[in-house]
Amino acid sequence: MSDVPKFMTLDDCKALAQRIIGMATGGGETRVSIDSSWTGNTRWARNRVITGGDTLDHVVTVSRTILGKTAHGTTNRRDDQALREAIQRAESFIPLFGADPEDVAGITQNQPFLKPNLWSEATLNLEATERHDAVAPVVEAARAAGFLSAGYLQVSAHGRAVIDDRELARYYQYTQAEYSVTVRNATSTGSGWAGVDYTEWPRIKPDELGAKAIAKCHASADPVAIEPGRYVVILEPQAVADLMDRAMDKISPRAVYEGGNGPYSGGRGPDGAGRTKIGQQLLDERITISSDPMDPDAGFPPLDFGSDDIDSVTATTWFEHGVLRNLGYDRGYAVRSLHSPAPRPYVGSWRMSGGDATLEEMIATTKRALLVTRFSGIHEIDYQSVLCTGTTRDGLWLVENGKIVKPVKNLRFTESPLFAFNNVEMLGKPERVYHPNGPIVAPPTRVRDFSFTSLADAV
Amino acid sequence: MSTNRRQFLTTGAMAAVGLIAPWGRRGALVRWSGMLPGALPDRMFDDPLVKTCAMRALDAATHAGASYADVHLSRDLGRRLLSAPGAAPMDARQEALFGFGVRTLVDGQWGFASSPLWTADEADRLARAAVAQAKANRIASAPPLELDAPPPAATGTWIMPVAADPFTVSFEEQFDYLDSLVDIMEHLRLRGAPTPWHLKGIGMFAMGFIANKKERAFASSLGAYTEQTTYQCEGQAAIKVDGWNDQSAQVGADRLSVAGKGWEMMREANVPEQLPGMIERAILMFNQVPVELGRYDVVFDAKSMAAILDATLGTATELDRAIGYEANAAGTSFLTDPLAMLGSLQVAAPTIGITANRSTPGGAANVKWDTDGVAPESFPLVQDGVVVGFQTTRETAPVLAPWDAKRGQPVRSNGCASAADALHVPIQHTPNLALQPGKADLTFDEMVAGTEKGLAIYGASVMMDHQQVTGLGVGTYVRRIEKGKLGPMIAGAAFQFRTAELWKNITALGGARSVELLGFRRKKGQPEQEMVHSVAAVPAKVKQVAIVDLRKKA
Repeated sequence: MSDVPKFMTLDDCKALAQRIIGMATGGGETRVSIDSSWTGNTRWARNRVITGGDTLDHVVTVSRTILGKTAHGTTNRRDDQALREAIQRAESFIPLFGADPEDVAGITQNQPFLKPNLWSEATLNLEATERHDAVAPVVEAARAAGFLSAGYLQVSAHGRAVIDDRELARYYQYTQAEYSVTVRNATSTGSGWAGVDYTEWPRIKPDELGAKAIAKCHASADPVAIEPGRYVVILEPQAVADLMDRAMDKISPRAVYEGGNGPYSGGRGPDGAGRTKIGQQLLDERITISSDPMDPDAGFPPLDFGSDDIDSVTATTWFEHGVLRNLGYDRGYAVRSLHSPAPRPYVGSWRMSGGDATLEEMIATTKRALLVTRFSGIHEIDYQSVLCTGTTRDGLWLVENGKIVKPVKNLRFTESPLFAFNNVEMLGKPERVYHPNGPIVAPPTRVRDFSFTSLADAV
Repeated sequence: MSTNRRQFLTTGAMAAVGLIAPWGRRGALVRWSGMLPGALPDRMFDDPLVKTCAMRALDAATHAGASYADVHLSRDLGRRLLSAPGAAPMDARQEALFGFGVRTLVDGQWGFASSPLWTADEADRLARAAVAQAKANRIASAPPLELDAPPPAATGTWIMPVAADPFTVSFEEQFDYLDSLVDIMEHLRLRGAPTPWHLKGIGMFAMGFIANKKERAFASSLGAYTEQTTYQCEGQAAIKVDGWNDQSAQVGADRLSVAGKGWEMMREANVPEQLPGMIERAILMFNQVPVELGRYDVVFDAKSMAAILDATLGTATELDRAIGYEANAAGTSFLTDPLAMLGSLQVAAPTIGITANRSTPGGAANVKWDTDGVAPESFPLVQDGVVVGFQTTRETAPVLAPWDAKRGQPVRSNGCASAADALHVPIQHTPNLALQPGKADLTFDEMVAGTEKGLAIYGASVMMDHQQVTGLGVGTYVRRIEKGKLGPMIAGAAFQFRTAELWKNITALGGARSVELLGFRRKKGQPEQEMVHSVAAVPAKVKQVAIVDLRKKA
């Protein structure tokens, strides 16, 4: 695929935006958002590659603002006709709109734009042959153990830009790499999993992930059923991330500010205005959760691609020693209610502080607990309390008197992360987990009184 | 005011409501940039590049060494309108996204390459890249893949029959239609019984319409060339009732789930006629009684059965899941040994039959040819309660060869290959599913009337484990049945089940006139692809269902 560019550079984006802006006549303002990407993937199952390929895409969204009304048209072609049609699609919507009182696109902020280095040539150059070489040894190791492996390796490179007709240009290029592997035994009575994602492909160690999944498959085989109930749980970092992410994805709750419900809502004040729980202790005091685009181990592009805001995403502490310190909001809210032009976007990445303990130390110091690899199929059943249900998956063990004594059948839980991470016994060293939608760093955590409500004896 | 809205008001069930201002909410239509509407070609296939690129890529792929190749070109038109009472449209987007994908089989190994560009150079490049991928993808110890026997080379054009192409109906008309629901609701509220004293207000909450038009050209090295156009539309119309204590209840209209239909689905759903029933349900939601745990006879409505079928046996009979293709993604299946289980494993009561198809009227997964070029036929998954079939593609069908041989049938894909668009590689996706109606022509109401003590569960959604062994279901609402009569709504009731046990405990099935079709979205694969399909189901009565308190912890 080396004969065509894999992504658009800043100059490519500017040239394309200029063409579009030139076509959008008749007044108003024009903004062009570009997401150009190359993705290479190798997917395997039953110890063979089942699909694998390369995809290029260049998605262009034209936003037209006329008399305070904005509408969007999208295409992934760059020829004149396709671009004209995208402009036309945006404009054809505009007459339908009333002016949006929160449209504050006219404001440009002078805050510095953060520039984390999220680029890896090694990720960019991981072609099919190199991907094969990162997959084949893991497949062969699983085969040698008599197991079936399935997994996914994906690398991608992105050039993303937001450019408007006042020569405001935001451009960011970044790479992503992810690797995950599931190993199952031939009788479907044992299953192990491991996975991680990073900007830089060289930080991913396929052999280690493969060995971990194989070891978990071995150790999880032929589990026995135990009674559901309240257990002390030792959650691996992935399980912590799976659960806590449900509480984090509500951290930008417009409704809270407007007096609505939600886990971070403090109801209404006497004036009818919405109150928040900012300042309240919601998690264990050892837990601090923050996001920082510049984090060397969990950095992310400083743009909120999901919104119309083009301000730099800045470092934010959401929970400090368990106390809720900040909630996210967009620019519309900031301007209207805070008289500040600065939004505070939450883009799905976070780091949770931990302690010094290793997983082994947590096990060794536990009288009775369940060791959880990860959770699957999580659904929220109560928005207000973030009460969730889901199942354990790919390795659940009973720990007694400091030792893993046997694999147990998977269980369904009914629990809230806000409850669980208030009942913390021990925190370990945080590490990067598998979460390709935005980096997450989480520590292994020992939690008491975790609620398992039924058997879910899937393997 | 659009003609559509006027007609709708005078012919709809709410014709008496005639007091709406005779102008559209959205004002006059103006266009900027000197462009006129209608610049989009009506058909992607009018572009001669479509066939040229397809043929060129096919030649290049076979020339580069592919033993089999297929080429997909796609244009996806998308429109999304969301509105709320008294506000500017919350969201209004339109997109046109293109794809060009080449899939090759070289020495029994797949390769794939895709991009949005339709040019001769790109055809050559994608073909070469797909062949290079296939060569690189081979793991030394893996035996070469063998597809099933080549299907007849399909040629032709198919357009899903819809009454109104949603992209030829103007936004103005569509927004006007959605907004008119606010007026109708308001008049209904004023003319009907006054809002009960314990409630603060009743009104429309959210209205929306999402339309997709999917055009697909397909060419294969077996000589196939087809052009297909399908539509998938979905609507939303929800009311909200607010209490004085900051509590609220929302009820959505029926018959708006994703379907293989056009703009006509909004009118067919006849939301105005549904509104009185929706209001009644919303008010009932404020008078719920606590759940009493235990085992109950439960009458599930057709929508609940559609959701249960989809999440349990509909998922478990995906052959790619059963053999481990999805092990690292959504999960596998409790049907872990398809060959040993086919024809012998009892997974449901002997009265239960389940079939699959890609042709049911209004089916969201309808096609004439799948992405392997196979013309799907209706096929059985469960007969007399026993597993007799799986959902297959040309790649997975040979897994069942011994089972086919035993029955004297050829090894043949049943046409379940799909792809989100030509940028994505085809994999197996769920076709439309159908729960066969019972022989006695029972309705939901008759089943309720025949129940001494039990529960009625409406509009359930179901959460499964990753092998569909166990599940937890929640009704949109649940009512008590006492002596054949519906009682109050019950708060927090969930049903906890094991798949085979629930299906074996079915004691009565609704008849042919109680069939309902419900659309589902399902994500699968890596990279993830979201596809849609429909499930036709009838209401059913199930004995000994375990009812638990959804929010109760251990």
